[in-house]
Amino acid sequence: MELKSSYTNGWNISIKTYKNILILYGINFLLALSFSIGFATSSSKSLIYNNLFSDFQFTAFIEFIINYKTYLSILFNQFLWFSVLYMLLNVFILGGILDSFFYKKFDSDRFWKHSKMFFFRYFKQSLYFLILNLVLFVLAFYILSIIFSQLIEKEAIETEFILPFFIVLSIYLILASFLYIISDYTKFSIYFSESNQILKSIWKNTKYFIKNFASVLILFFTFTSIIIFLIIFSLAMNYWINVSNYLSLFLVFLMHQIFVFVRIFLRLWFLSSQFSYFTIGFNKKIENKKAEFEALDEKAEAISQEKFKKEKTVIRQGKDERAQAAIKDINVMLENIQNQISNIEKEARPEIKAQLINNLILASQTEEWEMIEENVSHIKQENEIKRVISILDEIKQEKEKEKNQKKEIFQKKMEDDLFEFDD
Amino acid sequence: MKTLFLLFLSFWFWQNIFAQSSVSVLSERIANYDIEAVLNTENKTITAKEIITWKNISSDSLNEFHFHLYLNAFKDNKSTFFKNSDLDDFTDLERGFIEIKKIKILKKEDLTQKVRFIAPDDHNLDDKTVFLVKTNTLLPPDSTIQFEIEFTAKLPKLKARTGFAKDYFFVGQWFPKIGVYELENKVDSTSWHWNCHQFHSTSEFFADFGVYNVELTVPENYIVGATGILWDEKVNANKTKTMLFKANDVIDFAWTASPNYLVFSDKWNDVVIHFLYQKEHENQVERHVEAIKIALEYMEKHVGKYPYPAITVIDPPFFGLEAGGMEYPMLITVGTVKFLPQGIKIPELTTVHEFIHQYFMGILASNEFEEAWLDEGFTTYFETRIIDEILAKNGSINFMGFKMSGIESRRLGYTNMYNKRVASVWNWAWNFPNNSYGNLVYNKAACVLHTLDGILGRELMDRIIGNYFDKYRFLHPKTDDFIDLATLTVKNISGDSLSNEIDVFLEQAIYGTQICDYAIQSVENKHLEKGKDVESDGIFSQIRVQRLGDFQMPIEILIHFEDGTELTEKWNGKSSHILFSFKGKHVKWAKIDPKNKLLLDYRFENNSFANESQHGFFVKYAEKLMYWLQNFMQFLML
Repeated sequence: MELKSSYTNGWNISIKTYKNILILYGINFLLALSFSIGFATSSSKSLIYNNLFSDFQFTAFIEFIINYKTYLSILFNQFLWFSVLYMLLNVFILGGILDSFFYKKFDSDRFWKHSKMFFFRYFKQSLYFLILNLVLFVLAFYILSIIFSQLIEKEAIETEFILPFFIVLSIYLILASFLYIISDYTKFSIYFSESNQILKSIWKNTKYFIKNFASVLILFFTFTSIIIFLIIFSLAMNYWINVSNYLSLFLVFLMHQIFVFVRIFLRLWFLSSQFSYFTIGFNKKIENKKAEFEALDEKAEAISQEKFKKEKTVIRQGKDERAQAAIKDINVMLENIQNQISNIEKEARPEIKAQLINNLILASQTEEWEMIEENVSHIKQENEIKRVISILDEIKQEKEKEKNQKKEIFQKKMEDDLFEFDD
Repeated sequence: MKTLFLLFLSFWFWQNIFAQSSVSVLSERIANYDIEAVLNTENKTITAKEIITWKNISSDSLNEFHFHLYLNAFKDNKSTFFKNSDLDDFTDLERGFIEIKKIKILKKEDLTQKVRFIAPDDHNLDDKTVFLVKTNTLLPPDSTIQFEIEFTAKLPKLKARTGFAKDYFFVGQWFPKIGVYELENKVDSTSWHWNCHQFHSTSEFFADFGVYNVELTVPENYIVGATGILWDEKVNANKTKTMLFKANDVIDFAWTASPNYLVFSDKWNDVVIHFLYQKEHENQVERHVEAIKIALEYMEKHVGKYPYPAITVIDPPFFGLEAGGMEYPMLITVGTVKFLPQGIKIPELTTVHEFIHQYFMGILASNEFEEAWLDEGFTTYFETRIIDEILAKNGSINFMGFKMSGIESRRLGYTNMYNKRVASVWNWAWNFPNNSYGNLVYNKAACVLHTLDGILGRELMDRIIGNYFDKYRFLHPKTDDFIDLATLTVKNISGDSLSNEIDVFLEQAIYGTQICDYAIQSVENKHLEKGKDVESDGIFSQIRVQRLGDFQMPIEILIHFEDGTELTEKWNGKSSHILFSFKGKHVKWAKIDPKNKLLLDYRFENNSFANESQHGFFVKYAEKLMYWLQNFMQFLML
């Protein structure tokens, strides 16, 4: 199911990001054109090379090789340098291509920004895989030469050379394919983790490759088979179409360009399918981790709520105590006033009664009275509660902040652990 | 044992007499061999006795006789052969040698102590491939002497031509062989001398014709192929078998033995074809047999009758390929591998080439040491004819779009030589410097003959070679014999002029080191108006042809005009250049040697010149280059 959706997603992404194909084909075409244009505009006064126009003639071909030896050697060097340049350009735009795959649309600004951003990482990655491929090739060659020299030593017949040759060749091709696949997934991993640790990424993706062995191989061989079929088809067409005039030459040119274009499209479709497969897995992991995180979040929330309640209770209790103390103070003062009023009522002497009344009036203007009034007001307006709530809010915010920090740390850890499939 | 052996020989003798009475004697049969040999497959040795019956056809009375001991070329790294070859040093077990246990005149003088090694070619005292003995008595003219020799031959590891590889044995140059006593190669010489060269890395054949009766004893399960025809076979008590091979009018005897051979036999007219092949090459039996039949038919049609009753073709195993691609009388070795595609005609080419040697090495039997081109050059010439005209019309290699004809590959060998002047085609085989032997003796010589073919026409060429074959078969012709016969034949048919041309051509091509290169330097078309030096208005065209090399020969120039008309001009090619001028016509292009006869011309690019630049090829290959680069870049795409 995942594979099937990888193909379809890959297809959709490639179509949506068709500008990638155009860019790659454009680079490919322009480089090849600038390489061959010099040759195309050459000419000769000799008729001998006309023998090579309608057919292949060995003698004319050799004459050409001999007479254009220097030019051919320059051309050969150019051939190599243009290939290197194309490879570098590919490395350069890879970040942009993968970014467009991720966002499923081609945005020019993002494309160049990400191309630039990832260039050195992908350059490093390409270099590592180039070295690995070279090592593999040298190793295969070395093993084969040892086997062959032993076979020669034991005077084997030619059929005895075939089996070891094909075994070593097959192993080499299989391992080279593995390297190719790992290389692709390493690119995705580099894109997602934005990591500079390429070797670590290679190692992680080797493990990813092993864990998803069947699926990634099916993907690889599907596209490889299509490309091989395409190459055979193209060779057959080359064989069947006889270039004998400029019209047939133009037709062959068109056919070749279609072939190259289709090859580039297939490569990008393959890459985006792999990318899609990789992100299906990646998203799944993210979802799982998210769910896990949300559960933790809820748990933390619950804990926070509990704490909040507790503190609220504590504060409430404190407030009650203070209110009760104030009420107690008020009661004491009321009792004191009541006593004073009783004393006033009991006093028969008018001047003293007046004095007592005056004292009571003065007393009501003291700070204590004001304090009592204030306490009463506070209690009534529940200002204290508001303050407490504000304090609690602050505490809550603190907790939230702490939680976010934890979340970030967790997220980072999750990314690091995402490819630790054996844990 | 000795009595038994002699009884055996006398039995052979009578059987021989009986056999020969019904077969015509083709050669003078100067050197005749009766050999009894036992192959020890464990020790890789051959224990043998031989009786050489040699006839003195000279006017001299002789008491000195020269012999080849060619297996000693593999004795150590001091031999002349070893010094001039690229072989790695042999280990003790890999070395080969031949040891004479006894040599005597039959029933007479023992000469064993009189064996003295000589090195007539390079005076290398360490080379033991030639020896002489001096007898006490003189051998008068027209009389016969019989040498009885007992010897042991230790076969070398198969690294060049002869030896063993595992249980495969190819046994060539394995017995003491008498040299050729001949007239010195000088004009009107009456002086005779021994011609008995050392064994060299490039050549090995020059011997007198004779009758060979060779009895070979090998393990019972071994299949044997040999020069001649199998005359008798008997199984011995000790799990061995003894096979008697007889060959008349041949110059050598080689054989092979292996338990792994499979045998396919066929017939073409009266010639029996035996193909001894490896099981893994079963799929290529037809290719070889077909090639040999075509070669037989072609050579009989164009040169002369194959005079022997059989031809045995040996297909060595992969590990014994060093024995492949060799020729011996009535026996040739080829070489192939199982998975060779049909488009690569190596098996056919090798089979045809080695078979043609039967005519030039085997029947004409020129001195390969001194005039190797008479063998290899003619063989290569006919090889390319058969391959290109019949067996591989689409190219001796026609594989994955690559096409190369037989003569194209041979010509390339010569034209691509760094120094084409390094030596002439005519040279002693070991004197060719810088590995030029192959390119000059095979390739240049083939180009010379093809050029001659082109000049004379196929009919006349075939008549010359037919006459040459008829006149000189079994007679060791020399280069001058061919040139004289060729010029005489041309003179009789086409007159003095062409005959002289041919004489000059062959003189330069065979004995000289000149190189041939004619070029069209320019084609100019001008519109001139009537003036001081111009009689009337009109187009004036001029072609400048130049001789860039020092080889001089007549050439043809084809001129193609804008209006489609063509004109062929002739030039004797002697001066440094020539101008051809035309009025009233635009020249479109001009071409030297329009029928591509002059294969000796080492540069074809400058043989034509067009008024307008030619673009087609460049555009086509630019497209190819572009496509290749695009694909390669795509291959590298990340």
